[in-house]
Parts: sequence; C-alpha cells; structure tokens
Amino acid sequence: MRPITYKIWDIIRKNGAALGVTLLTLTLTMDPTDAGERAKPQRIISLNVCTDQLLLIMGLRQRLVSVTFLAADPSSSSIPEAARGLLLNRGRAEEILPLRPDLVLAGNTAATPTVQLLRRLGHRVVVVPLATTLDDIPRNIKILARATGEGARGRKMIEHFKKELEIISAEAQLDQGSPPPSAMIFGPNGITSGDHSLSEAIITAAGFTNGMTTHGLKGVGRVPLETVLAFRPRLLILNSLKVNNPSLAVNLLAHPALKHSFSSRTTIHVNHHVWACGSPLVLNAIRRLAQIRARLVKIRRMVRP
Amino acid sequence: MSTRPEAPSIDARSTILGPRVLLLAALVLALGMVFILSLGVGPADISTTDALAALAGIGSETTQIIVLEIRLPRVLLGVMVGATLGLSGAALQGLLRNPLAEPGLIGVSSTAALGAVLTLYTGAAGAFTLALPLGGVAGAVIGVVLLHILAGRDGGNLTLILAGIAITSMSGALTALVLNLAPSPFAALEIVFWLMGSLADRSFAHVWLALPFVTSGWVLLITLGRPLDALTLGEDTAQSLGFDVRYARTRLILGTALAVGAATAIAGTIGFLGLVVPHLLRPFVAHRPGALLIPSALGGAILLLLADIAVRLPFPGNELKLGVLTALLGGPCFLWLIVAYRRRLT
Repeated sequence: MRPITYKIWDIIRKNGAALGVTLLTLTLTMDPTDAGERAKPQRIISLNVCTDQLLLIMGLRQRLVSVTFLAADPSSSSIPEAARGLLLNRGRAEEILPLRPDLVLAGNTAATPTVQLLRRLGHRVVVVPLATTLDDIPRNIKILARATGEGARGRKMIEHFKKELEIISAEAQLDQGSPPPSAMIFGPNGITSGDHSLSEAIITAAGFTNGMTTHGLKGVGRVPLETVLAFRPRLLILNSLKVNNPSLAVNLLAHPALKHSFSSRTTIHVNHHVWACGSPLVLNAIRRLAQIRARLVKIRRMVRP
Repeated sequence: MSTRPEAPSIDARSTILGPRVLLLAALVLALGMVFILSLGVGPADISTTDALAALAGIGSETTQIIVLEIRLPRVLLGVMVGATLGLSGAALQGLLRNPLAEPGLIGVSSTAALGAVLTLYTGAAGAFTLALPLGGVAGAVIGVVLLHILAGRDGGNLTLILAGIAITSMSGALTALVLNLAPSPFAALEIVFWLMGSLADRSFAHVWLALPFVTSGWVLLITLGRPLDALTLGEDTAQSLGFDVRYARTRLILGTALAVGAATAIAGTIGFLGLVVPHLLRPFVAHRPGALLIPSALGGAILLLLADIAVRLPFPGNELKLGVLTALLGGPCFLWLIVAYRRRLT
C-alpha cells in the first residue's frame, strides 16, 4: 500500500493540484489504514514530545526518521541524549511529507490542521491522547505498541510499569497511620496543577494530597503567590526548567516571600520535563516524592508524638 | 499684622498659599487612605485591619509574610511609579509648554522599557543587579534626547505627538523583537507586561533597586518649580529674569530619565497617568506650572494606587494589567483635550 502513496505524492508534486485532487480521492477510497495485518512500519515520524520519548524508551530508535526538536531539548525531554543524531522536526507538514513516513504519531494537542492534511494525503496518522492519569500510561504504551507492531514489547513494558507502581504504593500504605501531608506545585508564572492532571496523579501516588485540588482547581491553572503562602502546604514543589533563561515568569520562583515561608526541607525543585509526559519515567518522580513524604511524616511524628 | 504698604501683596500671597496648603493636605490625606486600603486587597483573605496589625508586628507569621513581603512593596512601588509619572508629566508639560507632553505618550516610557528588556532578557540583569534600572534609565535618556532633537524648542503639538508616536511604535516593535528572540520560552508572552505594566508579585528587592534612581529624579524635577513659573512668560523673559533655560532643560531630561527609567524597568510601561493628573489638578493651583509639581506627584500616586486596587478586584488571582486601567481613564481625558483644543481654535 505504501509505495502507492509515495508515487501519488510524487505525481502531485510534479503535476500540480488538479491531478493531485483526483488521485487523492482515489487513495482515500482505498483507505490504507484498513489493510489488515501490515508489516512493521519502518519510517516512523513523531510530532509530539511525549510520543518521541515513549518511542525511544520502547527501543524503536532504528525505525524513527524524525522526532520533534523538543525531544533533544534538555528542558523539555527527560532523555535528550537519546534523540541525538535524529532529524528534528517542528511539526510542519512541509517538513514531514518529503521524509515519506509510513507512520506518523501525533499528540491530541498537536496542530490538528497538520494531522488532517497528512491524513488527506493518505498518510497513516495515529493520535496518542495526553496522559492525565497514571492509568493513561499503559493505555498509551498499548496504542503505540499496536501502531508500531510491537505488541509483545508493549505488554512487557506495561507489566513492568504496573509492578513497580504497586511496589511504591505498597510502601506508601505502610505508614498510613498519619494523614497524608499536603503538597502544592508552583511553576513559572504561578502555573500549578489541580484535579485531572498527571502531576496530581504523581503527587497522590507518592502519598501527598494536592493543595490545589482542595482549592477546586481542575487541570492546569494559575495560582497567586499569596494563595500559596496562605495555604502553606507541607511541601512546595517548584516546577522549574533545567535551562534557566531569564524571564519574569521564572523570576517569580525566586520571590523572597517564598524563601521566608519554606525552608530547604519543605521545598523541592522538580524539572518540568519529569512529569510533563506520561511515560514509565514518571516512576522516578513518584519514588523521589515518596521518599520526601516519608521524611516529612517522620519529622512531624518527632515534633508531635 | 503689618501696616506697611506691602500688606496687600502679602495678603495676596497668603490667599494663594491657603488653598495650596489645603490642597496638599487633602492629597496627602487621600494618599494615606488609599495606601491603607490597598494593603487590604489581594487573593489571600487578609482584611485592611489584619494588614495594619501585621504592619505593627501582630498576627500570624503567614499573614505577616504576605503583608510585609508582597503587599507592602507593591503599594510602595505604586506610590513611587505613580508619583514619578504625575511629576514628570507636570514638569514636561510645563517646560515644553505643551499640554500633551507625558512620558507614556511621547515615547520615553517605551524606550525605557526597551532598555530594561534588553538588560533583563540577555541575562545582564542577572549578572549585575543594577543593570535593570540602569538599562531603563539609559533607554529613557535616549528617548528624551531623541524627542528633544525631533520636537525640541520650537516644536508645536503636532510635531511632539508625531515624534512621540514614531518613538513609541519603534521602541515597541524593538521590544517585541527582543522578546521574540530571547531564549526563554516565557519571554514572548511577557510583552504584555512591558507594554501594559503591572505591579503583581514585585518584592522589596525591586523597591530598593528603583528607589535611589527614582528619588534622585524627583529631586531634580521638584526643584524646577521656579524656572517653570518663569518660563510661562516666554523663554527670553525667563532668561532675562536670570533663569538658565538650557540648564533647566538638562535637569528636566535627566530627572525624567532617572525617575521614569527606573520606574518603567520595575513596573513596565504605564500610559496616560502623567497626562491626566496635571490636567485634573491644574485649576487648583491657579495654572502655575511650578506649583503643580508636588500636587501632581501626590495625585499620580493616588491614581495609580486606585488603578492598582481596581485591577485586582474583578478577577482575583488573574488580575488585569495596569495599563488597561490607566488607558481607560486617560483615553477619555485625551479626547476631551482634543475637543477643548478645537473649541479654542474656532
């Protein structure tokens, strides 16, 4: 099926739009996505920083033609080295078409006009939804594994992920005698996460309650500095960027009022990329937060036995 | 008291002095009230009385941190920025003898913002703390000097406004360009702050940073009172009365640049305030530009604090930018000026 699509693209390029449109309708009626059991795609392009990382973690580097420029950016990706040497794209259709992909992976927040255009031109595009809960991570692995024809590898990854998560939550169960301490995320511009966000899922899995949820925030939003100080969570999670280029948004995190309200024991810096994407790498963030929680609970027990 | 022939002139002076003292007292009182009121506004549930108690060291640690580290520096910066804009507006209008002169309108604020943006986003402000206000002051100096060359001594209203528009749009475009090229992913979004101004989440670090520049600018401008009064009689007469007009002009340029440059580097561009305040207060000082300076500074501070309260009220936690409010206030005032000007012509 795929070679036909290529040929058609060549014809469109050479012979102009009129012929292109007629041939396009032809490809659409042939519907390349319903071709049953296909060979494993060998020219995969990813248009989303989260699918970039998942594909690299799955060990599919050899079959990747291009990932987003964010995949190689240490402030956006947890594994920028893994993307080194790959062609980097900015999600524009014009960059992608000449690369002749046989599978394009996009996030549901990505430029939908690009996705529609690629589909209209007969490319196979699989949209992977954003993960907002921990259960979404195995779901996304499954979608990717199916699309790339790596079912067995995907199942293994999911199994491993679930097992690790169980171990961490079992440890958290051990000291459930005390109520979970509160945490709050504070990022550049006061950006924070509430209910229905992956960051919230990570915080809760580590045994904290999210202070923003009690404030009724759903998804991602802004919180005023005063509100953070008035609520005074047990742990302040500063969502910082690895590369600290100057901006007013980032300068807010250095406000003296924060330093006077939170000590180094009750503040941690988490790099944004750690929990920006739903991948097995979030386990590292959960583990680290769970350790901090255990320490905070211990301190409280010592103060108020 | 005196029965000497000079008595009538003393009487005349005291009748001018009387309302002037009254005006100043009223303005100081109003400023004090707005100052206290402003301390009680914010997303955290802290009332005015709680805030006052916190200032006196009473109340929980959290309340004290919020009041002393967030609200107090915000109000102090509001006073500094507002007074700067009111004062420099009155001084510029007096010296250029032009009712439209104002740091925001004639482009000085925009060039100051450009200077501050250049130092902040290139990292110079991170490496050397004073770079930020110095950048603002340098930008403001370039703005005033440019304006002076383009629409200086003989320039009418039209030349001044045209030059101001040209400088404002040029420096606005350059600010946008610098922010778009800046490496930080947030920089491009911060153009709104630099074009519209805000006092949100500032700290005492900003107060100390701007204070020396702003106060030295004020001193240069406030002492311009007598030459400004003399200038109402014309440049030559002022010169013959013993006032060095060129020296006064240099002081105005330096004073405006220091105060407006540092204020803009901290709070962004806030327009129209310097235009509105002197016009509102002029009738109370018998249209004497020298007597207008201090009332304009106080009036500017009051109006800016009021605007800063208003931006926080409609959407707590997601406040408006200050420039939105001052433009809503200043726009109609500007239109009214045009109507009055046309009526005078016909």
